[in-house]
Amino acid sequence: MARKKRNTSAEQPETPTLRQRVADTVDISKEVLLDTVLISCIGNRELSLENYKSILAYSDTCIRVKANPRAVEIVGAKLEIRSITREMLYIVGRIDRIGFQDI
Amino acid sequence: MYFIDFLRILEGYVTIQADSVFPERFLTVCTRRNLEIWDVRHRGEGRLTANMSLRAFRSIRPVCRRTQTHLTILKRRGLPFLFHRYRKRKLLLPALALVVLFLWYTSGHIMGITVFGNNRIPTATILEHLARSDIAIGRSTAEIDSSVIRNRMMRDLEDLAWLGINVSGSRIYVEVVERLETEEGIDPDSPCNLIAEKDGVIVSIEARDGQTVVTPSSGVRAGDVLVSGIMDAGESGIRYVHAYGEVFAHTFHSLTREYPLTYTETLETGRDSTRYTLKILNRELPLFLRKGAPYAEYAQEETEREYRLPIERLPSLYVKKSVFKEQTSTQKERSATEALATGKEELLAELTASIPEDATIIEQEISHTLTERGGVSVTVSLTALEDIAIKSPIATDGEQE
Repeated sequence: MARKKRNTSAEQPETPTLRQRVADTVDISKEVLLDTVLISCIGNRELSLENYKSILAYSDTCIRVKANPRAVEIVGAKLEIRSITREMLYIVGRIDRIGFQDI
Repeated sequence: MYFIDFLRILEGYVTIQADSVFPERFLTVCTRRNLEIWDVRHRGEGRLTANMSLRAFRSIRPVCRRTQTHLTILKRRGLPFLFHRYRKRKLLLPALALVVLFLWYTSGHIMGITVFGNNRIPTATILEHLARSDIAIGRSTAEIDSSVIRNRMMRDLEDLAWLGINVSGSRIYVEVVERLETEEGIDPDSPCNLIAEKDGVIVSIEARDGQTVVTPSSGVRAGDVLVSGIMDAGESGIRYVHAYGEVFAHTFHSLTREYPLTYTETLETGRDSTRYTLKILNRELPLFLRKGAPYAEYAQEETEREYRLPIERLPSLYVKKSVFKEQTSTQKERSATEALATGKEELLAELTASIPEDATIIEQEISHTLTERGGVSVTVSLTALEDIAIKSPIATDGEQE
């Protein structure tokens, strides 16, 4: 039987999954339980992305990162990856916009 | 962050330039394989630069092959590269070890002693006493027990009221606090007599306390009591006082010396030679090659200067300057009158220097006789007016009620 495709379009509100409901109930870090990206910003100069998947595009004005549930796009100027590990990406530079995109 | 940078320098890292159609893929694969990479910068289309640890760089080849990336090393930084660069300099490592050893030694041992706050006690005396307590250049700073040394020195040095020993790096700062001089040195609790310091004829007595036992015009010998500290207290017996005051007397000083008519005159030729010696940690390093005296006859003057850096742990450098002045000696003849004049001048200067500064010369007499050996025997006699009274403590153990 074909698996039912999950509705991810922005127009229709998502119905919470079982995991999300458990995460809401239990006091555990949601990014761990739901395996989603955690974005932390310090002003518009520094940004860290935890639990990302891979880098899709990198230039000094735009960085696109594959993450769950959607790709993250950081737009700015003089963007630089200060540190990169398997779990965390640390970006510095002038950040103008952070957005989510479908992969 | 600085600590991480320090660790990275210790471990060594390279700055690389990666050229690829998809440099993002290169980054992703690097992170998947846990290769340490940081400071990633975009350098145009398909090019980026990044820093990579040496350990990561050693296993980067498969990543490059898989992602079709061309790597170029831009910079090499860190200790492994430094050691590699100097690997053929065999003496570098021993020299480095020697420097570390030297710094370790100097940081734990006394490299200099600064004594301050002393007016009456000479610095040399303090240094001598400190040396007895194992505080000298080159000794360890770890075993200094300042309270023990302070107590010992306060017991040994009478004028010392307090001594502070502070260790700053490898330099010892010795702060000296001297006893306040009590007014004219009077301590009513310590009875004493005034006795004659030297022979003389009493001129005047100004006793402020005590019983005068001599009269003007009387002659006294050295050690005679001039003003007694034992007073008659009527029916209650005797009482002891601290006798003080001035007793002026005429004192007589005489000096006789024979001056031969043939004598050796020493003159400086005007030529001199200067030699420098470096001194560090009590070791001397001569800055000259020729050993021995530069002249057959010479007079030597030595001066020493201390140079030190503001860094406490480094030892002071002393520069000793020795000036050798060449002299010549010639045998000369002189007449009896000339010998008399020389003798008079020399003996007068010596005698004047031997009497106290506050003494007044009342009379001077010069006489001479011709000796059998053909010389002139010159005698200079001086009569001076001076205070001859000195204090002599009275032992009163168990006597005073």
